[in-house]
Amino acid sequence: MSYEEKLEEFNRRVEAGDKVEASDWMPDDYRRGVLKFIEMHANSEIMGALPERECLPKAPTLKRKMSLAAKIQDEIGHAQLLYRVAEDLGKSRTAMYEDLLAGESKFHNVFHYPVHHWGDVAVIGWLIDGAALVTQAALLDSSYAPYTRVLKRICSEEQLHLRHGEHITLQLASGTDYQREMFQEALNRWWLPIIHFFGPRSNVAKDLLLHWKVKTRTNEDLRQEFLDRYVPKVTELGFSFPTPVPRLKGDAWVVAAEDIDWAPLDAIKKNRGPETQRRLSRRRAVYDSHRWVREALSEPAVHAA
Amino acid sequence: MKEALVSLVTALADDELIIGHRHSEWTGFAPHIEEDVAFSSIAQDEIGHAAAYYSLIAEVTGTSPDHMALGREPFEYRNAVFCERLNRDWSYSLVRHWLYDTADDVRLAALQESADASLAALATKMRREERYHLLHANAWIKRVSEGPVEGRTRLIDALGMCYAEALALFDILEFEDSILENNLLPCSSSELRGRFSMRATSELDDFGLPADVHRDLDDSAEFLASSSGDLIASEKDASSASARPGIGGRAGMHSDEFKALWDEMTSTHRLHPEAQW
Repeated sequence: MSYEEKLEEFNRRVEAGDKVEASDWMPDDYRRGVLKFIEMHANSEIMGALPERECLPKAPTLKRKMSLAAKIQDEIGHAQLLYRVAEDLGKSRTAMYEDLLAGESKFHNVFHYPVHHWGDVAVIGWLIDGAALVTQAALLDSSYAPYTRVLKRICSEEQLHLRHGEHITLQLASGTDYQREMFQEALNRWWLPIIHFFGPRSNVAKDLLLHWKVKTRTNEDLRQEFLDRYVPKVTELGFSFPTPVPRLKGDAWVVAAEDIDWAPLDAIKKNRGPETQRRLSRRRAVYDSHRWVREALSEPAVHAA
Repeated sequence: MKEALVSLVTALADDELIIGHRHSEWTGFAPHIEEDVAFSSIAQDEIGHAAAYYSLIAEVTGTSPDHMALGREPFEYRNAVFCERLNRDWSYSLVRHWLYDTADDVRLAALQESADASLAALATKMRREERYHLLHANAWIKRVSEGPVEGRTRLIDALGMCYAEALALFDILEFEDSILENNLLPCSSSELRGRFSMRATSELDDFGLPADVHRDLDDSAEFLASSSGDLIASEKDASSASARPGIGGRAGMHSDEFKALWDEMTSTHRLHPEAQW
């Protein structure tokens, strides 16, 4: 078969809803696109551990301290699973990890921002995990089969995280004025980054990942699902939204396109977010000063005297 | 009897909480992704054990476990200074993890014979979980000690920093006489220290690590162990603290590293001690 025939056959398969395995023939653009996408997801799980990790020492009770530690551990575990899937597409975990530390690959925008207090844990655990779950659930039907298999496990753990985040939020919402203020203040800072999280409007004609059904839904479609699901809940708890304020149009909660300032997201895409360099450099410093750990793992053991 | 039990269990609980807190700080920054996960697991176990110990105290005194963990003043904590040290290099954390879990195993084996049935039962349960911590620590010490020279050198340096401070895990406890009279512990802290020291030295020897380097430190710690809490407290000036590091945790004397840890760890709880979180 010629390349064109293979490509046509591949397109037909994907169009018909067939799933692609790592060992199947696939166009280079598909392989590269899926690799980059899963690599970014894995990077985001690693870097996503850090904001919550920064709040972990301040956990207000023993129970919260343990459950938050367990949740962060799950996230690192997700990164392990995802890197494994990405590796089969032709890039080693070490290379992916080193690219991440060198700032040469990307991770989700929300993990470039600082955290200040326990209200951040509530917003991250409920709304940001809620947003992530909307996007991840949509990927369960992705055309790349190995990805969907790990996503199934990740999504079921994320459901538990979401409940954890919801509990923390409800405690703050039903707590003292100060606790309510903690949540509101965190929400004010996080709302725009959450809106950015889904990305700008998809370019359906140009987006190869949509074309090959690696992604099954557009950014704006996912953002809309999130808004419709969470805006009523946040409102019901008596909290308010900063710009871009969602407004009810018909039965959909809509944020006006002109209310969204995309400049912060553009900076983050160049790895110039508020916390990008500090978080990367801390992890990089440990990595660089601990080469001996990796050497101990990789060298064959020799018996000391 | 009640004060004796509270004194003993507070020391145990505070050790577990504080070392668990330190272990959890590796999450997100470990030199190897697998160790992010492993140290987090161990941290969760240790904090869980602290919670179980605090519950035991709460039953006796009517206070809450969260108050015990997060609501006390720094001088009320009875953890050994060894547990509160910053993580430093990963070799330091690894050696501390190995020494601590070896010491904890010695301690838990004794506690299984405690006259307090709840404490004995708890010790039996914990010792089962702690087995996995020891397996993890042993595997790493073995691996690094048999590996390239840099790792081995770092282990030896870390042992030099850690060993004397680890012995202070067995400093005399407040109300120790009463603890022994009531058989809450079947033998004295100094007897346990001897068991720990013998075991650690012999295992280090098996790893091909030079345990004798630490003899000097060992002796000075032995000497201090016989001091009363008051004596230790009177030696608080900076020069003697650096000459004899890591002593005094059992009497509520802590390092600046603890003050910073305490400040952060209790900050949210202190905002609103009565709030539900």
